[in-house]
Amino acid sequence: MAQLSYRDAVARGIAQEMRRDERVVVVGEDIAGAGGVFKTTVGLLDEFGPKRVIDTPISEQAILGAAMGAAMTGLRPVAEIMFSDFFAVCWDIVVNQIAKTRYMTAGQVTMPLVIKTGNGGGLRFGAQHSQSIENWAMAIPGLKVVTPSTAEDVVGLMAAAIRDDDPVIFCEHKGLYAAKGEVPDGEIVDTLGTAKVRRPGRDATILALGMMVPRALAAAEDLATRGIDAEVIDVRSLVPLDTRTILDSVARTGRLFTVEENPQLLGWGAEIASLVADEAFWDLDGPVQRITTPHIPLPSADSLEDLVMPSAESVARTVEKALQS
Amino acid sequence: MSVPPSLAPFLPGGRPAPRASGGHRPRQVHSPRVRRLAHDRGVHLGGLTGTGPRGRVTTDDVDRAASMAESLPLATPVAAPGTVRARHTAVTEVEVTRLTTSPDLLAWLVESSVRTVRSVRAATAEVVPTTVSVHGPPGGAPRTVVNAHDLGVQGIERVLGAADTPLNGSEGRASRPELSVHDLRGTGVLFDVPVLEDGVVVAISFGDVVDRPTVVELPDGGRGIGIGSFVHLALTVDEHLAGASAARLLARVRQRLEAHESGSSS
Amino acid sequence: MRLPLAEHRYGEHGVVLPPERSDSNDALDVDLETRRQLYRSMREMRTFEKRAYDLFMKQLVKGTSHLSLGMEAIAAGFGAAMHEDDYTFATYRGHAHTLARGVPMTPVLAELLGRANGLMGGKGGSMHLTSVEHGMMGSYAIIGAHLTIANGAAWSAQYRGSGQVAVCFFGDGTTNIGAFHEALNYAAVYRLPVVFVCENNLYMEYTSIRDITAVAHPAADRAAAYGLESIVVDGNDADAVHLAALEALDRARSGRGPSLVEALTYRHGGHSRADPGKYRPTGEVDAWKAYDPLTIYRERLGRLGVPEAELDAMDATALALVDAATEGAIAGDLPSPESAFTDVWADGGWSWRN
Repeated sequence: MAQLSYRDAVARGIAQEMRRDERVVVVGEDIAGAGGVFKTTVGLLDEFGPKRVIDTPISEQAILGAAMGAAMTGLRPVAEIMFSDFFAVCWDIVVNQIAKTRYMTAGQVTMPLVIKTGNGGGLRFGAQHSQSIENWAMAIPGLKVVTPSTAEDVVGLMAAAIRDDDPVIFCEHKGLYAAKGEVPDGEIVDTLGTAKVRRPGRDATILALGMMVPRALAAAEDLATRGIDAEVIDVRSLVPLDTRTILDSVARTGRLFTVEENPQLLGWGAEIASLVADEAFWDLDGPVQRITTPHIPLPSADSLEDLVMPSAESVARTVEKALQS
Repeated sequence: MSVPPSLAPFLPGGRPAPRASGGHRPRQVHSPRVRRLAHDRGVHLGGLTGTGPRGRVTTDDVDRAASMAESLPLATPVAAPGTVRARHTAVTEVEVTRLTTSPDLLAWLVESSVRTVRSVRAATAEVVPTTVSVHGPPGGAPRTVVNAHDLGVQGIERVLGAADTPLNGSEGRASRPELSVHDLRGTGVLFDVPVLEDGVVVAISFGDVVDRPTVVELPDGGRGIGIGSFVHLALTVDEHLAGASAARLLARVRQRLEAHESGSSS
Repeated sequence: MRLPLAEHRYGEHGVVLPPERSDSNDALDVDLETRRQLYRSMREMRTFEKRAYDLFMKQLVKGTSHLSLGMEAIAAGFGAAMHEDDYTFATYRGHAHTLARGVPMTPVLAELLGRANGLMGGKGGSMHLTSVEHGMMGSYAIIGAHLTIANGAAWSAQYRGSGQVAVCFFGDGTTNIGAFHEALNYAAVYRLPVVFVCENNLYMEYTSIRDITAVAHPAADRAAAYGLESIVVDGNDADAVHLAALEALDRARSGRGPSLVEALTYRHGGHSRADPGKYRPTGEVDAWKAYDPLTIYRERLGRLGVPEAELDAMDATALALVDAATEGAIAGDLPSPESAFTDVWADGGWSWRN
């Protein structure tokens, strides 16, 4: 066991897989010599050399296109998109090429690639460097999407993503890079498509992702002091989605809340709310409520950013008020 | 940072302002979970006082009501074996305004009776498949509904309407009917005292459906006069064999019908 | 502000004429056997594309189709130069490039007809023809994207030391989109074994390329920006194309990096089936139709001593192949409903939830 930061866990997960499979290569802007602008690939160049750990020009389309072509022809690339906002620059490669080509060719090509990206807000970087884009990826058939919230999950899910033969969007949360967690020694391999109940409870189900998970947990602790026992589920994987864990929880508690960093419209929680309204309607003891950032670009000033992003306090207040009405 | 109240609806967890009511203010609202629980346990929601916020009926309220109904003491002591059999009849009236078209009232009544008999039997004895003999409308031959507990109200209506529903005694696989339902509509009679034929433990009869004035809730929340359809139910039971009193059984049948009538069953 | 349509009316821009006819290229260093193969290949492509056109008119080919009529020399010239394990990346105008890699005609035609015996079971259609087993790594319908993907295949070959080369075909319009520039720079930086081939048919889609490109040769004039040699070749002369291909492939295979080849050609039809091509001046269309790659090559082979009868026999064989493919395609079943749900994921499934 060791205390490992989330950012070091990223490097550890990638290194673990690069050691066991020489087809795994890493490519992106400033990821080799500098170890990544967020220091998530420190040590990889030293251990694996410049042929396998490659610094690129600022060319997101070229980077992802190269990852796709290499994945189609025998390699298992991990490509980085530095800030997830930059997906917009190369979205064609992601959704029109990577997501669809296997289907259009009736399975002739396989694309075992991972796109890792620095996602999410809370760091005062402003609207063009703070978005949470997992819902963009969730909307496209053919992409798997994971967002770990702990260092241990980072290692395990990165390994699972690299070993998976399909394209995986690996959303690292920028706000969690410094957070430390206990990580067991040795090889760790997790399973895509599985959610984790972080805190069991009876009175309400709270779903959260990424940096919203610790906030939901803090809210649950606060609610417990006022007699509300909330169950917090770390969704972890949007595609594939662990609907069984979610529906089982709602069947027990009867109340569902989602905590989403996306702006309001079409966040991942909207899809789950729809699913629950369809398949667990008769389990619901009250309306499904989504706690999200409002439908605005994220402001840069710290006071404003904190105001508009969901907080432990706003989550607890919302749940308590809902259960009392 | 102090936030003006006008912003609160838009911040995380904020809710939009309730729309100005253009007309309809809903009656007491029951959540889907409460409605499902009430349906499953045969509880009539309309009669319940809720202990939840703003008088809402909670799942605990439903559980409590169901347990109370199930633990009602027998109205009459059960006669010891060998003594004169205790056959009693009880009569009540129930509103069936929404139960007279499709499916037909007969099907609703068969379903409610079957569920009641089974729930009582389940509490006191081994549960046996429920076979029902259905008499009426007058002039027709009696019909048998086999495994009635497996059918919903639509299934029961289908079986009753099917040309090949077996006549009494001709269905080899059926157990002998324990329950008989007598449809006296069209005879001009409100109810009669149903008789327990061979092997039947519970018999229910109902007569003409009568439309008459009744108290209704208005859209603005007040009360007024409207028209409702009402029917009398009479239930005769061998209290020793059934392990329950006529009053108790009839109350549960009525409860179930009222749940269907108010739409709190799914 | 300079506005092309203020300078001339639509369809009345300056005419670009083909090269003068001459027999000087008879002496190019291509052996007669290869030349026979080049003719055979072009004839098959021509006959196939004409059949695709006819079937579209009969509404058996659905959706849309982008035909290579008039542009066969480029696909054939490169096809004969590439190794069997080299990679082809093409655009939605990829029928000829697919045939050039030896993919049989029946599944290709069946794919256009949306049948279960199509190359991709009807899942991709005309614009996405792919046959990995023949090295045909896909036809891509978003302008510019596949140049970046071709880089990836080249990178993989370089990483594995396999000696394979990726060849990427695209049109003149592609040279103005961002992905083109990213891909060229990327390929040059890493010295990837990739050949970029610009099939300049003078029209972006419905607009003259010269009206909307800052330089005269849309590809060749950009090469220097990426440290590459400026290469322009007569795209209707199969021998010229073939030799340029051999040189570029050799450069890539020997580790000397990428090439950008601009091949001048012309399409006989419109951009797609829906387009009657009325934006091209009549004089221009006629001149280029006279400079038909098949006509020029047939004349050349005649001058080199190949008998007419032999060439006629090759034409007949091509027709027979296309007829057989037509029969096989039309006889194909419709895809099963289940097939709509296969191969989203590597495990063959499509499920997004448990």
